[in-house]
Amino acid sequence: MKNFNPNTLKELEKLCRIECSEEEEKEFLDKLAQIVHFIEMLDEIDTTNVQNPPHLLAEFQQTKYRKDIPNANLPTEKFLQNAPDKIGDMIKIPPVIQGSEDA
Amino acid sequence: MHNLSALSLRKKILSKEITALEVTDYFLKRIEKYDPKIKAFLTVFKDKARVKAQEIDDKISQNLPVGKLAGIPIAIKDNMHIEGEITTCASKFLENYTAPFDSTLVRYLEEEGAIILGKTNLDEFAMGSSNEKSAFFPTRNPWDLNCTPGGSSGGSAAAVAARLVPIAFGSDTGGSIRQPAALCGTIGFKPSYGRISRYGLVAFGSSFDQIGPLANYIEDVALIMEVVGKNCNYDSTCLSLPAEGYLEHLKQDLKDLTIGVPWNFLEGVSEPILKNFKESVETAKKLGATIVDIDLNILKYSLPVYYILATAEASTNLARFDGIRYGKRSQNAKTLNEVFDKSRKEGFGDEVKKRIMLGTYVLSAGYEKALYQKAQKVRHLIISHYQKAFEKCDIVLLPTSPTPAFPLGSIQDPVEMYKQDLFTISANIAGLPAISIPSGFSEEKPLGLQLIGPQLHDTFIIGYSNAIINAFNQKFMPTEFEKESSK
Repeated sequence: MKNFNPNTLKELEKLCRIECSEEEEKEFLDKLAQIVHFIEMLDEIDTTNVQNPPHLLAEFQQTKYRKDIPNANLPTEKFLQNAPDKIGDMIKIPPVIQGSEDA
Repeated sequence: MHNLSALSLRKKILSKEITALEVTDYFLKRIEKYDPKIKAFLTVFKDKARVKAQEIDDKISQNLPVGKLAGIPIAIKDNMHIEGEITTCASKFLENYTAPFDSTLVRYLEEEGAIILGKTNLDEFAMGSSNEKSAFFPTRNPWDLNCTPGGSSGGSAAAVAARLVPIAFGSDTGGSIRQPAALCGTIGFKPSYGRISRYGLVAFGSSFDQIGPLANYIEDVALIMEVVGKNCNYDSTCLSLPAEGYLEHLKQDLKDLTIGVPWNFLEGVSEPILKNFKESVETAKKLGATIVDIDLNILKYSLPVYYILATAEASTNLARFDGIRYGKRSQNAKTLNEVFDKSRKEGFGDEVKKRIMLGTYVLSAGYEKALYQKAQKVRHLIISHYQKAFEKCDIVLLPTSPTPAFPLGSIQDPVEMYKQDLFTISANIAGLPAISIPSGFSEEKPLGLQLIGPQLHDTFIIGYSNAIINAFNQKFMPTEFEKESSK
């Protein structure tokens, strides 16, 4: 593969929704390439005969489920105290459709 | 007073030899005096702690019932919620985030009368092995202030090592409780996956994360596990088991115990670490344990498995930090997309960005099969190799960390830093209970010995640790912080 190049990084910035400065791009490219090289160590191990494993929680012997009973854990006003911007009981965000709001 | 166990403090409080308020004030003074050097705490709840301690004293004076932890000062890693207090995760993204509810851990502690003194520093979002990735400041190792305390629960480990609190809590995704415990000369316990509820812990790698205690006395680990190691309806991965009796297991000896040592996996370990480890194995043998060689060479793949799966989980878990509902929203964002892009750019530090990107990479089309699915398969292999090993032995011994505490800034290479977790990660991969106990020194820096057990054998791990700690019979206290705080 798995050549980790500037285009890979650009694509990742988009997928991760993280904008990077030029300086960061340089550093991340270098460091991430090192890490990707390191994790490719798994190529050494042959897993062709390993079935897709069962769900991890089953492997951890934890398959009990409780009933899904809704209850009011978090009142709206408590949740909204951390909202960066709000109008009444709603979170305010910048306009999604350009020209739709004069503010 | 700082050299007493929490269990002895509790006895003294209940017998009215000292008051809970005196204990709280004593440790608050130690924090005031020593923490400017160590920088273990991000927040200290002085007034609130004193009020709660007074409430305990009032109850005691009226002969009303008090809980199992009445008046015991405790610190909490700052990635767990205390309602009404800030949970920063040592990130700029959350520096103003007020927790809207209590974590189950905090609820269980306070129900039993514990006094929470403050919240401790960590690598941002628990991603790191040195505390240097905290967005605020690095914590220092009480044994050598030029060194890191390890991470990510470095603040909790340093606070316990310097006796600023008798017990602190950390979280452990790949070794984040045990490695700093080893580097700071304290005990650090990562219970079986699901033993302690993660409700109110900010998630990093959900299939790896586990909360656990750090303390200087094994009986305190036992005591606190009896309070927090139980079922919780708010975390579907929490075991539906009641709390077990850890204190009664402290009487266990090592006779009839078979200990597995994966010698082949230890090839290449540095000399001081290997020497200390061999001495520990000899100690266990003298205590009556039988030592067998086991094959766990597959553990050499645990690091790449972890850095694929844990970053994949982190990239999805941290998608919630979008600048919309809570946490940082960039002042420079004019459109919705810019809110995402710029808030995350400005709010996250380097290590967090790198791990989100790596996690996204291993999940992206083209690589998902070769990396993510493959790592899942190897995880399964590691789990089954452990199961096979536990047919031959009762517990596995490993060193905790491949190095003693290292100077701040001395490890720049990311892969080198990840190798700090070489011996600890497999317990998270397989969901096993694992503890680090102080096992001696290399050039005056503490080292740790790790005991790993089969799933759900938490009480046994703590019991065997007690026998080994008693046999080591060493004094573990950094001299610089030995003095009593002035009253």
